[in-house]
Amino acid sequence: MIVLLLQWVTALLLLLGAVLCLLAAVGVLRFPDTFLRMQASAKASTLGLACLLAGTALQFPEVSMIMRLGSIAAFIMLTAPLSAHVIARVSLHRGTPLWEGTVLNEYEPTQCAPEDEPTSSSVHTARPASPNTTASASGALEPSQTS
Amino acid sequence: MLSIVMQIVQVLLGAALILAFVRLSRGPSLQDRIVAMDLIAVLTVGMIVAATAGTGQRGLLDAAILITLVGFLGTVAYAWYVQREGQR
Repeated sequence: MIVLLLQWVTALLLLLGAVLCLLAAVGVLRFPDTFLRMQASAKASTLGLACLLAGTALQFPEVSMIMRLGSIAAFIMLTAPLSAHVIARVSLHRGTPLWEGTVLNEYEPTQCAPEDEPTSSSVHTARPASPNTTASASGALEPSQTS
Repeated sequence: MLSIVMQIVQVLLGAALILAFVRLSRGPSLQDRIVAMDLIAVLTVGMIVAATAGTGQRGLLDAAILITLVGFLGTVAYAWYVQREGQR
């Protein structure tokens, strides 16, 4: 009974992980911008690989397997944001053209500077030009550049 | 039941690899190609892990660990060289 349930959970986790990896690849292929592609690759593939590793760990409940799978998961979760950050920084320095539907580019000081605030602080705390379509921590800056 | 699921998982991951290769060959800038290479490394690790779950060959996971390490170092090295080329 328990074995059958574990098999079902394993199959479900493996299928979920594979579908998430496929969605990451579809996002990398279809998104219009380097930054959008980068975030699709970083987030969806990390979650998909974590699901695959969890499904495999449920199938082999041994110490050696779980240590290896856990080390892979920890390393991927440590390095995927790091590599995404490196790629974003490089493409920001090289001046990659943004998608024309980008709402906010905080790296451009002329675009995001509000009227009552000096631009130096906003430039120093500028993140890579991530297109914010939803509300985020920088939502207060958004109305200043909608014209 | 589980073997059919393994085959479906391998087919899905193979389709994801093909899509990532399309982006790698078509990417307009070098950064898109770096993103595609990073994704290809992660998908290869996923395929190896799924093959481990399907066949029970435990030694395959060591190759997955190695590909994880080399993939990250490769991504950082690509980014470093691209940035150095851009500064020149």
